[in-house]
Amino acid sequence: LVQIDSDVLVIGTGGAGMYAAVRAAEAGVQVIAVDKGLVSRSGATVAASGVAAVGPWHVPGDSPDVHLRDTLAGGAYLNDQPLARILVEEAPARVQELERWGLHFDREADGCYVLDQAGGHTYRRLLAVSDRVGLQIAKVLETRLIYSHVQRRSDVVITSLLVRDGRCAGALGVDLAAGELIQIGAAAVVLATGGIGQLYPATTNPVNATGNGLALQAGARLINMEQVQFYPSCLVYPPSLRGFGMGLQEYARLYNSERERFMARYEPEVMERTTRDRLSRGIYSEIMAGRGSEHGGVYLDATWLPDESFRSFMHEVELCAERGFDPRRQPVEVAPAAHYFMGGAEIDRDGQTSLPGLFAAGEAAGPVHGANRLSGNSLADILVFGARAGVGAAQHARAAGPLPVDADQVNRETARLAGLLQRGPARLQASAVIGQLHQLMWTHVGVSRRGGDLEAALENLREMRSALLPQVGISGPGLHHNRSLATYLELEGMVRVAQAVTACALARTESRGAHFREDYPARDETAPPQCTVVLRKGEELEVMSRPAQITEVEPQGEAG
Amino acid sequence: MVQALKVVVERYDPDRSPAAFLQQYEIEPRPSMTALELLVEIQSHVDDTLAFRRSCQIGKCGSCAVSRNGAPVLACRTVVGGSAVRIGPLPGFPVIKDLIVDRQRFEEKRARLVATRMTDSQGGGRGAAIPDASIAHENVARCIGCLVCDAACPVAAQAGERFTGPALLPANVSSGVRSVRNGASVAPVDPQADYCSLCMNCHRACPSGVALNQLNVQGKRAWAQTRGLNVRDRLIARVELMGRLGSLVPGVSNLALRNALVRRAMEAGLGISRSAGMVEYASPFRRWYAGHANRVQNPKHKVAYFVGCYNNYSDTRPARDAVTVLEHLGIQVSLPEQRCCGMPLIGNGDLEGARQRAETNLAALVPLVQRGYDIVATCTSCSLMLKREYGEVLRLQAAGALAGHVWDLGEYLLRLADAGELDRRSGPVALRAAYHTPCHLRAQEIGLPFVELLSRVAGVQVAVLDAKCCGLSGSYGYKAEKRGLAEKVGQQLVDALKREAPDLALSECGICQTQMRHGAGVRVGHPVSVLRNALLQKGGE
Repeated sequence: LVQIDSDVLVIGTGGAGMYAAVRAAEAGVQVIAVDKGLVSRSGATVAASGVAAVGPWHVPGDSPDVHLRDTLAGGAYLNDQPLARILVEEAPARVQELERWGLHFDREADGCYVLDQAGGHTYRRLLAVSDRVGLQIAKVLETRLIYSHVQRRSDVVITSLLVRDGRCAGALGVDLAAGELIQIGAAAVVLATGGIGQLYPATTNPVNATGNGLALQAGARLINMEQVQFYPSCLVYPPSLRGFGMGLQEYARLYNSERERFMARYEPEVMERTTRDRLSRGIYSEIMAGRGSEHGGVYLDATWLPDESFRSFMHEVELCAERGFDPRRQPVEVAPAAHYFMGGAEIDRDGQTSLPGLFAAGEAAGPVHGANRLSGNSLADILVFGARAGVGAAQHARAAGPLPVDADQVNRETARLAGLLQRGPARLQASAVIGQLHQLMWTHVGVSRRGGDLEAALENLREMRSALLPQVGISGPGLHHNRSLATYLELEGMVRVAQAVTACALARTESRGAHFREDYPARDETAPPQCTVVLRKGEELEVMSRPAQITEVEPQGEAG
Repeated sequence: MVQALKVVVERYDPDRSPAAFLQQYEIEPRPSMTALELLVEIQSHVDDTLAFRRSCQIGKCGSCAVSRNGAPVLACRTVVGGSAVRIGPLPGFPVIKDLIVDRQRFEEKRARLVATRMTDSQGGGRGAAIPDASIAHENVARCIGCLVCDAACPVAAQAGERFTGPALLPANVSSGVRSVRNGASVAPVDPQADYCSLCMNCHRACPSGVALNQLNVQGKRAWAQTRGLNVRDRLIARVELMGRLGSLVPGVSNLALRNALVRRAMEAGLGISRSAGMVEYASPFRRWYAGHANRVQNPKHKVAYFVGCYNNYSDTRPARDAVTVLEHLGIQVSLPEQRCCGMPLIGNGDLEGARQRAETNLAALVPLVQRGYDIVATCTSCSLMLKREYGEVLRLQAAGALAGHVWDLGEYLLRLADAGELDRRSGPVALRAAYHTPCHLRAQEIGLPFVELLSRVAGVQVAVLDAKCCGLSGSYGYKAEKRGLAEKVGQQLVDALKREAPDLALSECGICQTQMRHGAGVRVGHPVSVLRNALLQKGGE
């Protein structure tokens, strides 16, 4: 066991984690940033496009207030409004900071920013760098990490947070590069581990977005875990592009296996031009009713569109062309894919979770976006709350000082990990269990849900955890880039998170935002919007609720 | 049952064995299966000990670079075809485990540049830099840091610490590594940028479409500006001037260049390596052209011949043979006024000099194109400049008028042959030849047209050499400080030639030819000369 110490430990180096690390380092404390893949390349940030920010460059009529109202309406009023206010107020300053750090946003010939329109936004307010703004953010932040002397470690899989006297004291995990177990003592920890798309068979997320349940295990409160946003039209075929978002749904026509333009059944007036959640449900219903395409999707037909319509989808066209097909000339098979996770560790204005010393930011945190996240708000979120978590963690580290780790906890965890390596291969394969989990989450905890299915899923997950996980084989003997062990550890986390998602989905007996219950198809407007909260009690989960913080804008009805 | 795909993976696990080993898997192929998909399939269902990197799987995170049949690729953007494929780690990098390589050398250089050259305020005034205002941001923004370009770079493969490869430049320029000079933002450039030989292999390999041709020239220019172009680089880049002087009295020039004392003095005084095979000078081709009898009546096509410095001043035979072949086919050949194409100048960071010559050339060539002429070149560097770099690197608008009208001679002739305009009964010529592909032909992505043409000539056997860059790369290998490196780069070619021991070694590029002759002691020529003999039924070489 290698033991190192730092003032602040950042877990995950997508945009939120890197911003946090940079801010903490700027505050003068020592910072270590770890990632289970390559630092700066493994989060969802690199593939994201568009950042929403209303600064001095705004179009006439727009303001942070309008941005806030859009964000809350999009989030079905499940956002904590003070957090959403911070999001819209601070995004412009972060954007300007990125620009000072060398990021060049697209500009018109007259020097003004190119501002893009996106669904749910009243005005054009997304800044872009072609379709690559996320990649540029990741690159610029990586340079800042280097510049501010953050210690960077790739290939470190954190398996548990260290807790002592009700405070987070660091983390423990496997350093795959060194082939050693590693204990990182830290006075403050920032959890920036991203979303949970990999719980589902198709996702737009990177492979690392598995969810890990670290905060849950450590005893922190998680919020709105049922809120999983699906992107409606992602390829299901060919397999190498499964989950790749086609972004064309508003312009194309959708057909089922019976050649019906089925959206007529669900949205007779606007057809495909409806909101993403409704479109997802329409597609999902067709697939579940057995009217899906050969590979489990529906047909997206954009062949009748003029080629110019594909101008902003050239990366899509390129990737398809490499695989020998052309979405401009032939229909493609699409289905909803898990895209964004609104749930996560519950944070306050400084990004601190309910566990002192543990901070969270970005997709791993909530409830900034409520029950649905608007396009462009996720990049704004990672900048704003990444920065805040970094400042908060540095302050906490300074004020609270170092904390000795709990030797018992360390011994238990190292013994557990050593035990896993003894299992050997040739038993049940992790990939088989992951396949089962995918199927379960898609059919029972997917785009539209039913109480009975959710109960069955909970039962299934419990069994998976108690009966299947102990049988999964792990190839040894060493830790050095042991993918078998890493996959198993991810699977453990995935099942833990799946349980929390399912339990909260069962508890929310209404349809709100991304969460749709067939048995409760309407929004509950009899009471103020309630956030679900889930907490670990021993091996069980305790689900509670608390009102969303409403400080500025009164919730409107669904029609409003 | 679909036939299984044989996948050979180059594996290495220091915990189990100190030696790398090959492992074969049989995978049921799926439509348009990518290299990454294959690896995931193996890891999830066949062998969970296989180690490799991946993350976004859609070409944006740059994690999954590997080699496919020896060539560096991004696994998620590479569809594997056929019945067998070999996957290995990214070439040229130390292997950590299986397909995971050590990126440390690159990361360290990047960190060093950030630590030493990056400032948020005035004070980063020293050292080579590219002004922010002249950076094509939309171009560098495409860089995903996958390091495929480093793996494709023949210089980086041999240069050790001196040159980690082309990736450093776009990685730094596109990630906000900046300092402030005279109140303006500039992107600092590592001195290693000067080691780029402009072979363009990186440009071709980039899976993300970064125009490295542009950026590398900017990097070299930044470096050249800082230290000021020295006499040697000024001289060596002016291939045209040297050619004009050298060919005034060719015999004397060549005698002098062969003289050891002269070469030693050149090395001591100018830094021009005395061990590099020296270009020789001849009576200019233009003189021959003016005197030759043009017998084409009622031409089928009209071409303007861009002869290039090497074929005009040094080895004029390819030029004479090109004209002979074209006229034999009933094509009218005109020889427009022209200057050096500019490649040697951009290779030495002299963008302004190159632009000046390019403008002169465009002024002569554009009207010809408008009058229905095709432009044909025997030198692959000249044709690359005319086809692509006048627009992309020198950013000359007028170059657009040449689009679709500039041809490598082989490319032009092959098109005629495919249209049935080339005599099928050419030959026979008894010849065992070995062919080396110039980097700047590869850069044009037009295949190997002369190899195709010669393979149709009865009696001619052409072996295509499995070799990368010749190493000389224009003036690059003549610089004393780079000579050793250039020799190392070219060693693969020299070895391949020695193994093959052909009657005649062929390449379009005069510089490649010089290196081949000097390094392997073989007779060299331009493939058009073989074609000329075949067409004129003379037999032999």
